[in-house]
Amino acid sequence: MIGLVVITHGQLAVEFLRTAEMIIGPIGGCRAISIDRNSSVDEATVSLRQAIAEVGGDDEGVLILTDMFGGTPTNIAADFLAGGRIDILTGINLPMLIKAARARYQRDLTELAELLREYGQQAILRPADLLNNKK
Amino acid sequence: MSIVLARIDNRLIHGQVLETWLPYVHANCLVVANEAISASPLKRMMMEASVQSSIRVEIGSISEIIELFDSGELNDFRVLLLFATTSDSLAALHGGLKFERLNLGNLHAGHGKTQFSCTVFLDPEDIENLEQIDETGVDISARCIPADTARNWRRLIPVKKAEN
Repeated sequence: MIGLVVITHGQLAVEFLRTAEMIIGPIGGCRAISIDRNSSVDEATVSLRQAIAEVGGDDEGVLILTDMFGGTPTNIAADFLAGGRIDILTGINLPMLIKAARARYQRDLTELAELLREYGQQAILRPADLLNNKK
Repeated sequence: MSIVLARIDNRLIHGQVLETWLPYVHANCLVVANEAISASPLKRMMMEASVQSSIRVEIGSISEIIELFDSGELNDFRVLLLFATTSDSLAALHGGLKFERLNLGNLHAGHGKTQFSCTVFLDPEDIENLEQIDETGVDISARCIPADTARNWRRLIPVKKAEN
């Protein structure tokens, strides 16, 4: 099973995980890391390294999900990027996290990352479009 | 010299800088003087990619950035200059870069550091560095984002540590 680490500004990471579990039940092999205003980059890097080690025990790789490209959580994650072993996706949304939890078996890390990159974007819908496109 | 703001922020280019400081000082050029980032192609690319295309971005080591300013290429730009540490900003001053104001933005906790404000932690070496910068006439103040009140660095007093 591919390990998951969610790392974001503020408490988003913790709340994303908690909310996903509210919907699909407990999610194993997933850690949430919050970066707040006072967080030191060095300490956050240590926390991320630890989380990666904790969820990466199956040797199937770890996918890091962050909130925003250009933000500190993503910049910290960038140091860990390693082809085939550690991958990163930004702009996490709830459907993406739920899909990640479900789709990470029998798939390799690169396949999972590419799947979720598309899935996360397709998860953004405008209900009014459904009315306008009556088929 | 065209440096409208020099800032110490150990997170370098990130949301606060892009969304608040850049527009606040009307900068059209963002310069990062930092050895570690300039040595990591991925992090350089990511930082460069996070900046909107209307802003010129230059990332290099301290000596590369000093050379860049010396070349005169940035003379017509309004530059926001970023350092990660007090010693980098002092090295840049010694190398000939000129700035009138130094903003203490994010200098986070670490071994041996005392807290002076919610985002400013300094150790004795930092204080010595800031003294030297101050002596050259640079106005040093602490402000995380423009909406905060600027406080002259000499007005910062150590925050009492909570009893463990």
